[in-house]
Amino acid sequence: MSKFKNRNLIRVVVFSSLLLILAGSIPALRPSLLNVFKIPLYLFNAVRREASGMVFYHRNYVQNERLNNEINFLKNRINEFNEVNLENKRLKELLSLKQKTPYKVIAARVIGRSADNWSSVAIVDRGRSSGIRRGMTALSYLGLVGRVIDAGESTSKIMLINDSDFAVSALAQRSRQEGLVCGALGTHLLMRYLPKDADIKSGDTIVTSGLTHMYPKGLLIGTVADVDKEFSGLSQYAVIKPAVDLSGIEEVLIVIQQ
Amino acid sequence: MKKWIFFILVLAAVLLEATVLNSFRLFYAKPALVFTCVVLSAFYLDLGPALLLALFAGILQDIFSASLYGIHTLLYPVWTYLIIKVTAKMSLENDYLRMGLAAIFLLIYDIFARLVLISLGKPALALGIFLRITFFELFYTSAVFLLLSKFIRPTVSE
Repeated sequence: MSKFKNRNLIRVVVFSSLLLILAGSIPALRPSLLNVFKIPLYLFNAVRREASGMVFYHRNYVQNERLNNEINFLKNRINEFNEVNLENKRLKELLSLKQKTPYKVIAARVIGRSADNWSSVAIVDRGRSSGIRRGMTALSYLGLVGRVIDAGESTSKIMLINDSDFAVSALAQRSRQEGLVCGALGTHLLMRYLPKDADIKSGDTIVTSGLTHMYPKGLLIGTVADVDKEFSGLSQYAVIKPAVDLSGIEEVLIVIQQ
Repeated sequence: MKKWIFFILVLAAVLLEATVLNSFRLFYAKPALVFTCVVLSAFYLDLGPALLLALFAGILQDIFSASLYGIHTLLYPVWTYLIIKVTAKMSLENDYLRMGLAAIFLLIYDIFARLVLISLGKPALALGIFLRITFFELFYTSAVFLLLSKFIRPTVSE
């Protein structure tokens, strides 16, 4: 009987040890294992697009009309800014000022998201073969999206700005008040460690401060929706509405050269 | 045959959770479809196959998550073992009872997984956020569990 118990105990110990080793090695194996799922993710993503198009038809119709109006308005603004830009270039040439080099970016399509409720990641269809490396910044035309946390051969994983592990040093564009923007696993972000007398209010634009070296300075994060006191009463926090609709992003731009 | 049905179910569940279900979130929570499949397999399969399936499901779920440690790989087999031991002690043929047990296990699993990750150095999530996600995830998963259970039962019952 004790021989049988010992054998069972050994089996349990061996199985538990193997389990612990396997669980610990998952992060290292993740990038290569994710490549296997690239094509199934494409297929399921296509199904998702069609399904949500059918289910949310009316919402999409109303949103489409609103976006068309916004596009027409923005086209007019772009024309105005083109004139200003051309004048700016001419004046800079006159003063012999150096041109700022823009970022070198690569576009990647979102093919999947995290499979649980406790992390906020996006899986894209570009990887190391396209020049993407861990730690690179991901953005969209509207603002900051996140950063690359895993880069496989042909797929990459991006931690979005609303993930609970995400944090970036930011500042309010108007008052230059600095704080730390953190994810809160929802539709809004939190800007924390604001002093009690911080000059920040609803409507303020929040951008990256450049203190976190991974993120270029001046990237749009969002706008302040609300400001409130922390539980201790010693500091404040601001609720930030992200500039990018994180639940609906289809494409991201990954900065491969600054 | 049963094992293959659950194997395909787990594979489909992971891909659905990573793609389609993101468009159907409720207050930022989606149903824990992979967990549901693991619990259902514990009700219908023997210990060995259920543990292997749980391990496979855990690895798949960890591939799509951002955690520094393979938490699902570690905990899914443990949870399957516990469910099998519990159901050996009490007979649970009713779908609603099974749904209740699955909801309890999901709640304990969420709390335990958070504690394990905190002990590994991950920052603690705010209580309000944790409660919001847990509550809606429980509600949504229970509804999906009931539907899936009714679909699975005639397919895998001998």
